[in-house]
Amino acid sequence: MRKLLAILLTGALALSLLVGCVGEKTPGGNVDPEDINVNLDPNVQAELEIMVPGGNVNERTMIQCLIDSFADLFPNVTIKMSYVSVDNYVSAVGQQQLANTLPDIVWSNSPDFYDLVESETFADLTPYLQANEMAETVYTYRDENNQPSKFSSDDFFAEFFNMGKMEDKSYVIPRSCDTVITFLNTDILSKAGVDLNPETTKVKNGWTWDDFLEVCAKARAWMDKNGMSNNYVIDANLTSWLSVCYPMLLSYGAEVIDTEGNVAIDSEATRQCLEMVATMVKERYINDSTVATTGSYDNGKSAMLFQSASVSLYAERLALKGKVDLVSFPLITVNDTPKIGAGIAGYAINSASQNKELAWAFLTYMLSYTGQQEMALNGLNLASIRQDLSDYTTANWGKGYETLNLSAYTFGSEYKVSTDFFVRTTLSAKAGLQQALQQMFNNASNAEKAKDIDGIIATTVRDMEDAMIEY
Amino acid sequence: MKTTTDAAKAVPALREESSKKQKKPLKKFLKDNYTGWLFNAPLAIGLLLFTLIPVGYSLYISFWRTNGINIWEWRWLDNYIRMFTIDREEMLLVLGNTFYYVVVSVPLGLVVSYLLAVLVNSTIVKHVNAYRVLYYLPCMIPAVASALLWTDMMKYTASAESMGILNQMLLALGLPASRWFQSEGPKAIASLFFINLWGTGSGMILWLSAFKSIDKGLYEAADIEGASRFRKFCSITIPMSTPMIFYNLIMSVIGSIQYTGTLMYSTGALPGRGSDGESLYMLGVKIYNTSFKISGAQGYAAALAWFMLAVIAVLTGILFKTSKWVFYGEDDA
Repeated sequence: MRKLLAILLTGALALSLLVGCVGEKTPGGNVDPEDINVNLDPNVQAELEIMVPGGNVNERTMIQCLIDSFADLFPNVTIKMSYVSVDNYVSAVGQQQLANTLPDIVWSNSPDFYDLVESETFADLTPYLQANEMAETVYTYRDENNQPSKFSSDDFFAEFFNMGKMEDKSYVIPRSCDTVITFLNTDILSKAGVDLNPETTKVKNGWTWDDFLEVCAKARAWMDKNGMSNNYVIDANLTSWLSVCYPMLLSYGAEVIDTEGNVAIDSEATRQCLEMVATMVKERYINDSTVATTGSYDNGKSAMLFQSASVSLYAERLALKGKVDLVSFPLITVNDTPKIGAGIAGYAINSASQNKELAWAFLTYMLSYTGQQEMALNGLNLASIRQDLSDYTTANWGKGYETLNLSAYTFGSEYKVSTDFFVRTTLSAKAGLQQALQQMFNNASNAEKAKDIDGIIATTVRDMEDAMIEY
Repeated sequence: MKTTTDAAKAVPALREESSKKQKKPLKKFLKDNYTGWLFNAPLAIGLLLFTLIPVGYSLYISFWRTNGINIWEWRWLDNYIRMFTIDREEMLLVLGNTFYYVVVSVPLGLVVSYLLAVLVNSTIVKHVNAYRVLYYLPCMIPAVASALLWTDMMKYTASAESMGILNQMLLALGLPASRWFQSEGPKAIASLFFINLWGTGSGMILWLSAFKSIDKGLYEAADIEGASRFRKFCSITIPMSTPMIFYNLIMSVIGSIQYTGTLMYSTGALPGRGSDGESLYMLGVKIYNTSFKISGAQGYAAALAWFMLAVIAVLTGILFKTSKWVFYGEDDA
C-alpha cells in the first residue's frame, strides 16, 4: 500500500509539472489579410479569455457588457475575464507569456505596449485591419441599427489610432481617446472669485497657462483665508506622470531625445520649464515633492486636477457631487508650440493565441458604433475613438454629464502628443528614461534642490545616458 | 611465459568480479530502499525543478542579453564586466548602502533579539508567556501590511496635524519632525533599522530554543559555587549559545545582503533608483529592478545575482574562518 501510494504521488507530481511546462506556442508571423476570415460563422464554438486591469471597476464593467452583447452574436462562444495589476503590468504579462497562460486579448496602454511588442507578445494587427477594410461588411462591426456594416479606418480619430502603432504596425486597438484635461472644483473656484460664467470666463477650452496661473493665484488667496493653507491649489500629477510633464517640456520648446536618438534635455527651454515648476511650488500652487499632501482633488480639498480619467470617476464622489466641471489642459504659448498630453488604453491580441480571428472579431465589435455606445453606458465616459460619436450631447459617453464641458476631452487635436520618444532609442532604456524625467520634475518641485536647476538637469542627463547604455 | 599469460587473463576477470561486487550492493541498496526514494521523490523532483534547474538556468542566461522570451544575444562575460565598468558608479552606491545596512542591522538585530530572549527567559518577570506572544506578534503581520502601516506612521506632511503618529510624538517632545525613509543619506536606511526592531521576535524564538537546550546542571553547579546572575549569563548562557549566535549571524548576514524590503517604501518606474531613492537603493533592489523593470536585462540581472552569491560566499567564508569562538561541546574545546 505504501509503495502504491508513493508511486501515485510521484506520478501525480510529475504529471502536474509536465502539464504546467509543456505547451504549444504559435509564432506570430506575417499573416496575409486575404487569409483572415472577418465574418466567422455565428455558431462557432470557442473559448476566449480577456485580461483587464483588476483594480479598475469601470474597465471591468464595460468589458463585461461587451462580453454579454458579443454573446448575442456568437452564442456558442464563452468569454472569461482575468485580471492584471497595472503596477507591474509589463512583467506580469511577460511572465504569463513565458508560462504560455496569457489570455487571447490583453489590455494595454501607451507607452507600456512598446515592451510587449519588442518581446513579440502582441500580434501585428495591421493585416486584420486590412482584412476588415477589404470585406464588404464585417459581421461584428455593428452600426447604429446593430447591423453589420462596412469597416473603414476613416471612422476613427487617426491621431489616437496611431498611438497604438509601432514602426507603422498596429498592435493596440484603442477603446477610447485619452487626453489630459483640467478637472475643476467649481465650489472652491467660484468662492475664490473666479469667473465661471460660460459667456465671460477665461476658464474655457483653449485657455492659456497665464489664465491658469491667474486662477491659481485667486484660489490660493481664498484657500489661505479659509483654513485651507495646508492644501494645494492643484493636483498636477507632475512628478508621477509623463503625460503631464512631457507635453509641458515640448510646449517650452524642449526635447527629451532628438531624432538621432541622443539625449537633448539640456537646453534653455528645459530650464524655463523647470523654473516655472519651481515658481509654482514657491507660490504653493503645487506641493513640495518632499511633503506628503493630505488634501487632494478627490476629497474636495484642491481646486484643480490634471487627469485623463472618466468624468464619472470624480463627479460621483461624495466630496465632489455637483462641484465638478472640466476644461482643456492650459496651453503653454511661450514658444508657440503648445502641447496637450494624450495616450490610449486599449486591447491587443496575444501573438500565441489560438483564436486570433475570434479575438479580432471581439475587438472589431469594441470599435463598432454599437460596441462603443454600450461601453459608454457602462462606465466609459471618455471621448469615443469614433469620429461619428464625438458629439457628447448625443453620444452615450456624455450621458448623464451633458451639462459639463466634456468637449475638453476632444478639444485641440492639433496639440495632442503622446510619450512616444521612447522609440527613438533602445527600448531597454524606457524605464530608466521615465524614471529620470520623473525625478527631474520631482527635484524641480523640491524647494531646496530647485535652487540649482543646472544641477538637476545635469543629473537627469547622467541618468538618461546611463539608462540608454544597452544591456 | 604460461604464468604470465594466466596472470594477464586473471586481471580482467578479477576486475569484472570486483565490479560486479560493487554493483551488487548498489542494486541491492536501491531494491531495499526504493519505497523511501519514492516517498522522497516529490521533494527531490521539486528541488530539482524549482531550485537546481533555475539556478543552472540563471548561470546560463547570465552570459546573454535576454528578456527570457525572444531576445537572445550572446554576451560571454560582458554582463560581469559591466558591473565593474559601465555600471561601476551605481554598483558602488548600491554596495555602499547594502554594506551599511548589513554592518548596522545585523549586530543591532542580534543584540536586541538576544537581550529580549534573555528577558523573556527570565523567571523574575511575571506573565512571561504573555510577553513572548506580544514580542512575536509583529512577526505575524504580512510584509506589505507592515510597510503600509510604517508608511502611515512615518508620514511627513506640511501641517503638524496631519503628520504620522511618530512625527506627532517627536513634535510633542519638542523635536523636529523627520522624513524617515524619505530622507536623503544614511538617515533613510536608519529608519529601516528602527522598523526592523519590530521583527526581532523571530530571532527571540531561536534564542529561547537555544537557552532551553543548555544543561541545567551547569547553572546548578554555578549556584553551588555562589555565582551571580551576571556571572552565570557571561560564563554559561553566552558560551553555550554560541552555536546559535553563529547560526543567527550567518543567516542575518545572508538575509541582509539579499534585502529587498525598500521596494515597498519606494515608488516610481525603478524604485530605489534616482536621487530621491538612492539612499534606499540596495543590491537586492537593483537585481529586482534590472530583471523585472528593464526590457532585455534579465541576463545582467542574473549576473548580478551571481555576484551577490559570490559576496555572500566570501563573507560566509570569513565568518567560518573566524568562528573559533563558537563552542560546540567538550570535544571541540
